[in-house]
Amino acid sequence: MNLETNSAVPSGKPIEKPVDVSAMELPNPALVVEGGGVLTARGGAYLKKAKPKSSRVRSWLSVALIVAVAAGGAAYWLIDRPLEVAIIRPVLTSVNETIASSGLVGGVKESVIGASFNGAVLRLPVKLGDHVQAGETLAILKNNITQAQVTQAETAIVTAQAQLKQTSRGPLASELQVIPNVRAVTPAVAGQGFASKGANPVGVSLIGADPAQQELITPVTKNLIGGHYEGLAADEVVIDYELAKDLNVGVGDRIRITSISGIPEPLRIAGIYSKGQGRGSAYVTLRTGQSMLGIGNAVNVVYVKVIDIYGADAVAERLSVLLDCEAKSWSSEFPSFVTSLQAQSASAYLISGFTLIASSFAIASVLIVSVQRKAKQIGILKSIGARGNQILLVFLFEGLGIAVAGSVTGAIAGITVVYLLSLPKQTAVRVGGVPESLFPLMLDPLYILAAMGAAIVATVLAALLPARSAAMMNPVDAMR
Amino acid sequence: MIGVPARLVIETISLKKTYPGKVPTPVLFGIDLRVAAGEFVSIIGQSGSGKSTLLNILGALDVPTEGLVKIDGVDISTLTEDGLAVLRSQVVGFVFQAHFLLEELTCLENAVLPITIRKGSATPEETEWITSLLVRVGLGGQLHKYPDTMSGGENQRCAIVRALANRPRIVLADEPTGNLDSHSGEEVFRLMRQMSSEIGIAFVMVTHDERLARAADRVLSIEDGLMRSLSKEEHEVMA
Repeated sequence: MNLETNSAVPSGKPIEKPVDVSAMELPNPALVVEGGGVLTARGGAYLKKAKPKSSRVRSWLSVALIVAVAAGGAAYWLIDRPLEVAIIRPVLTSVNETIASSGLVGGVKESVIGASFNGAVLRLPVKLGDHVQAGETLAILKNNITQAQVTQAETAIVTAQAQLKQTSRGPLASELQVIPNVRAVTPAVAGQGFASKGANPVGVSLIGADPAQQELITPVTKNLIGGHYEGLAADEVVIDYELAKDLNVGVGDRIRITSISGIPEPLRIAGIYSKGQGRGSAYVTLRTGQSMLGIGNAVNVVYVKVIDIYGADAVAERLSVLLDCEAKSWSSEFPSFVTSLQAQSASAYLISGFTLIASSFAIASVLIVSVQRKAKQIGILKSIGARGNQILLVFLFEGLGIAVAGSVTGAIAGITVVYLLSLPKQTAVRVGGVPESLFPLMLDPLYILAAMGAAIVATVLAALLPARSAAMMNPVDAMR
Repeated sequence: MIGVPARLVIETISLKKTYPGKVPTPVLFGIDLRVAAGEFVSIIGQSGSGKSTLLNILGALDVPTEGLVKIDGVDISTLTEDGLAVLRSQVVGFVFQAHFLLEELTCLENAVLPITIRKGSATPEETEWITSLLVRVGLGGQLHKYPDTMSGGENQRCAIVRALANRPRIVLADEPTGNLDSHSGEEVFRLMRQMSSEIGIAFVMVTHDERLARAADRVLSIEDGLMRSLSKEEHEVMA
């Protein structure tokens, strides 16, 4: 901005002579205030107008005097006269001078604004001269190029992450093995097919897996009635007894299995097994299974065997979250089997519970008789100063003694019976089958201890009633 | 010491007892009994006269229907079940008609039993004292015999020592010689008198053997639930 500064002092104010303003009779004092220090012609006109009649003669006289002086002066000026020279001595003095110049006015704080990248301006929300706050958008630039670069970089990240995941991923089986309650993990292929020897094809479910690993999931060798499963060759198959019977083949014979994908495979029977019930699967090696089902290097099923069968649901849930695959537990596949197992264990608990109650009653009645029989002794003890609590403890300890002796004897007898029951073997119900226990039983020390503990607690509780009646017995009645 | 009243260990005032039932059976009609420390009192009466009932009440084995019973200065109706047990243990000793020794224990063990019940086990000194009492009553050779291998008189003598085990103030004897032949009976009675005077324990003996009864300091009789003094004067309560 350019500012023109004029420091010229106004001169030639039309005040010919001092006017005593205060002496004048002013009808309106506001006019005086308005006039201030600039009493101009207006003031003069006012003075003239307001001049009293008495001073008018004097006025006229002074005008005449002025005119006479002016005429005299002019005559004097017009007449030739000697040149007057003013002599000025140089002295030190201050000179007041006005200098006119132009200058630049700047702000207290100035900022440089700019864009950190190139691009066309898309929009300008502010105009020149607008007031803006810090952080306000001044301009929006079009940056399509940058956006494209970001997208490209993001794609690159995704790709790199996928590669990283693939390269850093351990073997699936070992990854699953660390899940709690997992006993064994076997990758396998499973599918449907037709087995044929000559004409009639018979439907068969095919499992391709490493024999050693498959053995951990479903024991095959144990049920073999001929041949072998371990060390299965690529062109070999192990089939079940029913299938062998239908096809009329034996170990060493060749059959053809056509998978659902339509690829026929000639296979030699390496072994025949029997589970004693129902139709089994045909077992081939993993490679053979993969090629028969045409799924390359992949597997389409991973068998997971758990330690605690009732924890299978939890493992399945964990697997389905971990692998993003469908994981089915045995209990979700065979719900009716679960129900029957639950019913079985419930009835076992019921029997145990009622046995406990019945034996508690028996022990209570034994102790009641004992208290009656010892009434005289109780009376004697009371007559020589025994307190009720002492008598109570005597009978509680008697109950405890019976309980400990009984539960130890019972446990020994029970273990013996269970052991004897596990001895008889059932006759092999299938060809080549190994005889198994008639009653496959398991002895769990925890169960035995729990049963003993429950028996002891129940007996002592049963002893409480007779012991109390002994403690409350009146000594005179007792001795009578 | 005549004129100076001895401390009373037993005091009953208007003691009444009625056995409840469809037809309530009144047994004691108002007994006023006072027994001084160290006194030997015998009570005689017919069967069913209420002698045993009175003794059971005095030993805190039974409760009166009415009236006051003070044993060693304590109104027994104010005692709790455990308080009564303490009284039976430390203040009163019992001798029954049958010896009531525990068959499972030896003579010495039976005699020490009240101490065992009171505080868990007897000190060697206490066992020694009991042994000396057993020797005194002639059971020195029977210390480790079981009751069923000893004679009735021997068992009863053992029972008397048992009654003395906790040094009680009173021994209540309910027909202590009833099951014994006259010779053994006299011996047992002699022992009781001896212990009473030696250890200073009051004895209240119920008997229907008048001859034995008259050997006591004082003889009382119960007839139809009321008590009266026989031959000896009431003032003999003063020792």
